[in-house]
Amino acid sequence: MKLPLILLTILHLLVDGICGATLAHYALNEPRLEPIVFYFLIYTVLAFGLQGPIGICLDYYPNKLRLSLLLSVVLLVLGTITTLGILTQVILIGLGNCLFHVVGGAYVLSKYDGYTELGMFVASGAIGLGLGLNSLVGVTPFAIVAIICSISTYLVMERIVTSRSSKFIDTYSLDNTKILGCVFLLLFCVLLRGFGSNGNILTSNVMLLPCIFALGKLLGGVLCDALGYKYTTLVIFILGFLGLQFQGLWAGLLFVLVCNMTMPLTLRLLHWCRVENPGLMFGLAASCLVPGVVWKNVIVLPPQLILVVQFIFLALVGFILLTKERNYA
Amino acid sequence: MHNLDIRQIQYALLTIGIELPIFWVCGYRKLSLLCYFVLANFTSNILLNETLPAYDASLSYWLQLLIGELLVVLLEYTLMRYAINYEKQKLFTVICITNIISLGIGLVMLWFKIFLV
Repeated sequence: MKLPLILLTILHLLVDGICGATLAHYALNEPRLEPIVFYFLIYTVLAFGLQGPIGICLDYYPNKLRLSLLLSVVLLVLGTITTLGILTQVILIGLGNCLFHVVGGAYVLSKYDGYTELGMFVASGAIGLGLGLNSLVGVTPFAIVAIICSISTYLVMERIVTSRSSKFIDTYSLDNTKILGCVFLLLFCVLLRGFGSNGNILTSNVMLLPCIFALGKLLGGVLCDALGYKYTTLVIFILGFLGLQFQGLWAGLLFVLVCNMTMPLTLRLLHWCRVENPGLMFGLAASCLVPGVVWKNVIVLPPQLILVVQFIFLALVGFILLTKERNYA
Repeated sequence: MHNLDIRQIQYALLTIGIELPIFWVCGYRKLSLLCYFVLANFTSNILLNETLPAYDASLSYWLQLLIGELLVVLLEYTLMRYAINYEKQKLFTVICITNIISLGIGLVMLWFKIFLV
């Protein structure tokens, strides 16, 4: 039954759309740059940084997942009310966004085994954010559809049962040091992706980059289910290498696509490191994106370094963890 | 983003010219393995040369070279693991040896200021 997945994917687009549109509405009416940057930072830290702690809480109460989903949409809709003031709005949409991501992420990680479902869920957010931030869709349409969609999702979501083992990896045969090492390597890959996933692409088409983000995430998941983890990491590396050897818009877009393709892989493997804590693992991955967003213009890493380190770490984690997976050596 | 230039290709081919015979001597003689090794070597060298700045004898240059070489060893080992799934320790040692020798020859060439056109 994939209906909850489809609804969560649509809801992800709407939730990120609400946040993007709310921030864009404020930014368009604020003449000074400093407060815009300040409130964007607060939003980023709340929406991404708090996902880890909220993930732990939700892992303890998996039967509160559906209720948390409704709560997240309530917070988001309240956050669209401009009379509350921008600080309150930013806190509300930051918390709502954070809660929704953990709920959706934990649900998709626990309910489905593949990478495609995960790629599908994470992909739609980029499009919603693009539509909202560029004011292509206003706050009100996003909010109305989100309310309807969240009620539908609430009705079809099933109770998740967090397993203590995965059928793909045998965490019991691995010692804790190895598992912890894998978690750190995967989180480091996410951290690097935060610095490299945007590229420095200049284009007049405002929806081109969000669509490439979404395509990359979806493609990563689909490819991983088709080829297996081992060969997907190799394909990602080869495509990234090709993207770095040419100049121009398409080469840049290819590199951005490749950076985003790793997302479903890192999330799924993080989950398999601790299958009993899907919320925590999803949240930790999201938290690792914060430095990339905050210090993107301060710390500039060569894209070659990002590509090589990501490939080595992803392959290494695969060699350690995925001995049971099809096609894996 | 870069355009692949002829000098980078020359450096990569020179490195392959040094490392391939050593790899062959170490017992990896299957043609498909040798082709795969050439591709892995070409990729790693291009990426290293794109990242390294021009030689300036500073500590920062040598540090970057050292980190770059370590990453090259790890990258080549990881890429070769896709083709060779036996005697992993031997593979790692061979990759280390080939890279140390090619780095040594590269440094000697740099010392005598022998540069490619």
